[in-house]
Amino acid sequence: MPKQDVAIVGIGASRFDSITAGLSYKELMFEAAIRAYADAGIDVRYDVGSFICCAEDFWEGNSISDEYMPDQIGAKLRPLFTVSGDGLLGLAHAYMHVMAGVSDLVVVESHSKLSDVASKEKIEELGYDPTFARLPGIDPRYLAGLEMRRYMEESGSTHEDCAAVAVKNKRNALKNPRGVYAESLALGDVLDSEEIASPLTKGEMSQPADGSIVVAVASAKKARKLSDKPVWLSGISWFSDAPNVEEMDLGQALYASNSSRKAYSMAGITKPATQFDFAEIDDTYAYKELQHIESLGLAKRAGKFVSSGRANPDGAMPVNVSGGSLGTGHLVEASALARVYEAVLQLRGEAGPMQISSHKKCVVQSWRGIPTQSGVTAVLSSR
Amino acid sequence: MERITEGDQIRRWNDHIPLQWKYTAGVAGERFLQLLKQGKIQASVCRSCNKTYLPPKIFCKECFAQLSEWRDVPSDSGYVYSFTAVNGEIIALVKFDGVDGGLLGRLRKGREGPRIGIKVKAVFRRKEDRKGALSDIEYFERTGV
Ligand SMILES: [Zn+2]
Repeated sequence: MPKQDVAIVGIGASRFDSITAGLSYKELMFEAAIRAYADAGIDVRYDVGSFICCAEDFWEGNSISDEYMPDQIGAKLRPLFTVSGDGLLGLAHAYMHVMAGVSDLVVVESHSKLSDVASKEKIEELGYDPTFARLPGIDPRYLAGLEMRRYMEESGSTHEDCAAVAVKNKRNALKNPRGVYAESLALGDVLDSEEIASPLTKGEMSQPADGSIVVAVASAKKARKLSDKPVWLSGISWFSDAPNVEEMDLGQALYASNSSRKAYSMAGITKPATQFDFAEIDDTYAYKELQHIESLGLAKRAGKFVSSGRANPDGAMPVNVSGGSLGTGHLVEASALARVYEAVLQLRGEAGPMQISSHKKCVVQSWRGIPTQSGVTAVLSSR
Repeated sequence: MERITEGDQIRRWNDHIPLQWKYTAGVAGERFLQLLKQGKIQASVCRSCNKTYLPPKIFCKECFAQLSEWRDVPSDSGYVYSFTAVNGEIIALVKFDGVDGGLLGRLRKGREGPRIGIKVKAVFRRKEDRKGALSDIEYFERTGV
């Protein structure tokens, strides 16, 4: 039996939209937090031992942005720190807080207010090494183009296979109330859309959205007291590969293969291709979902796997039934916490029209976006 | 909670962050860029790990040793590891025979389209136009055609 030391006992999401006009990021956080605490059945001002936010100053438009996090999630004068990383890394910290006895009830929050960011591409460019990898006049997503071509060369996945991911995820999102970018498309619509960094087209890129996610994480004892449907966090690990573009593998996602190996061994997973009922994984760009499926050991030839329908909601291994980032929008550091939110709904059997029939165990995985080779893998199960 | 229902009620402040940095290239970066100005490419070497770092570093990420050995990388020994067409240009990650790492740069458009694996050489700007920056390599172009 997998470890049952740490569980997710409450989840909350704010509204998701391409623009949340009139609402500040703090109000989005407040909205998600109220829902998460109601879901967990807790009084945040008395029950929570520690808080973890995941945000990055450049996306916030504010230096020391961590100082602005506490009040709207109920953390005034409580232990809170901000992780400059994706939301799943916050979940890893929550796991450690519980296991170390720091707190038996931890809150993790992450959000996006990308509609406030007027210089998205400039911020992405500033992530590159200033001397060797910032290329003036060149769209910073050049790296996604380089990576996609190298991935296709090494894996044998075709451009049509990549486009099939976008078609699948945008179609899946039609059943999701958070499906901001839900759409019924044909392969040709995706392939013929504007080329941003060849072979990558606009239709294969997730588009920005606003939203906040709050997750409450508890010790086993506390979880059994609070919830009749705890979702066990039975394995989690994280990994960073080369920080320099010149040294990146690009063909494989080594952060995903390495972090999953560790997370799987914690959770007693030896055959990921058959032991999971579904997967909610990073699909910032369509080819990334294919690369991640392979690096996580879910299928050997991800292109054929997706194109033949085996990753569809009724397939052998449904991938991103929620619609992923392609269908629900990219939430910067909150993207992976949105995957956790959708996975928990499935595991509890509360995914409404999205609900799939087998939903006991899943893998959730993040990537921190260009120009990083960093990511987290987690194993969640309902028993 | 009362909501804003009229678009023109929404207040937004437009602001920008006018910041500047002076990035230090460092010991390895300085040496690399000075040599680039002379039309040479050099990498740093860790003998015990059999690793050759480009762009060079003074530390080995495998064994954590400090590196002080350098070796010339022939500027015509490159090959295209991957490439992308973006903003009307072709950007390539060029790797070199026997070297870990590589260099990013523009790929000159030839009669044939680029492919992964084609051999390329670095073409430097005229001496008087070089600045000790990566852009001293004006572009890479296919060799042996
Ligand atoms: Zn070494």
